[in-house]
Amino acid sequence: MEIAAEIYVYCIIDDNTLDRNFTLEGIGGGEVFILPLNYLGVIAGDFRVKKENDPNYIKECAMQHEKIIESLMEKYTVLPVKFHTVFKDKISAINAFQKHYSDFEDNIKKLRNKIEYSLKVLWNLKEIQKDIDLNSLYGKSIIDGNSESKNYLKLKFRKYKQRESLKESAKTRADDISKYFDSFIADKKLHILQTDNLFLSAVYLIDKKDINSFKEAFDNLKKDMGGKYDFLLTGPWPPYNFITLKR
Amino acid sequence: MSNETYNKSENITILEVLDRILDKGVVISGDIVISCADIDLIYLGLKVLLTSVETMESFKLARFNEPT
Repeated sequence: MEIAAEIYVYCIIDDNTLDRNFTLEGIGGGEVFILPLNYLGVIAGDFRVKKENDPNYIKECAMQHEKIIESLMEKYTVLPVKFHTVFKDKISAINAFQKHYSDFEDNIKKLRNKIEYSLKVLWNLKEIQKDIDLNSLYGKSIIDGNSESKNYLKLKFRKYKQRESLKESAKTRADDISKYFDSFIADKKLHILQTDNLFLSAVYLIDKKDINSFKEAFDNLKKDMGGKYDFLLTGPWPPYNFITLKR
Repeated sequence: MSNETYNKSENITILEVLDRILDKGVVISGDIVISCADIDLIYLGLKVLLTSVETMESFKLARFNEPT
């Protein structure tokens, strides 16, 4: 017996009709279609396949989800929907999205013609630690004495001071890096010291017309700082990190 | 990522994709099943294996500095 198709939602676009030339297959090989939502459109597809425990299937689904959104990104402004959002039927999907319509309009307006790039920067932790003035960190202990418990507290305090010092150093360096892009980016989000080695994880929102300027700035950054840090730049991505919904 | 992608390493791409599609963008609901009278959202909660940013560090160095 054939399983009834559910509705898988990929993204929202700034149009309520879909270009006839768009012919991508959806997850599981189903058709991809548009559900009009006033002036916007919900891009969805029939969904039947459920092999939830197969990692290869999940990976394939994840890449297909992204591929469909990125194909649409070339022509439309897109608001990507979280992976594996599935509804019982088209009416349920429309009802759920209609409730957030004004939010979607606001986001489409803010993100029109924009994409995001991700930049991750790693430093050599051992070299950085050498540069930190240990005397200034440990020179004056706030804990006197030499008992086991006091030594434990001293160690904890030392670790805390070291972390704070690393954070401070990471922030200064992140600001220096961001200066390369600040003159033309629309927005940015910086995460400092997510791990001891990854001192900057940034996402930049950029107008499509500024992509070349961004790439040029990145090339300059690598030229100036490539000897000190390792860089990972990826993109262009749909603007996942800059969508805000009032919940 | 599209054809303009700087770094095409498959492992990094899948990590970056997962980082985005799992909890960013338009999120209508979390990892729960909702079945109200007027809405039937079935969030199936696939068992995606998450990889932390620490793992991403293992892909660093030469690969991160590929010529553009």
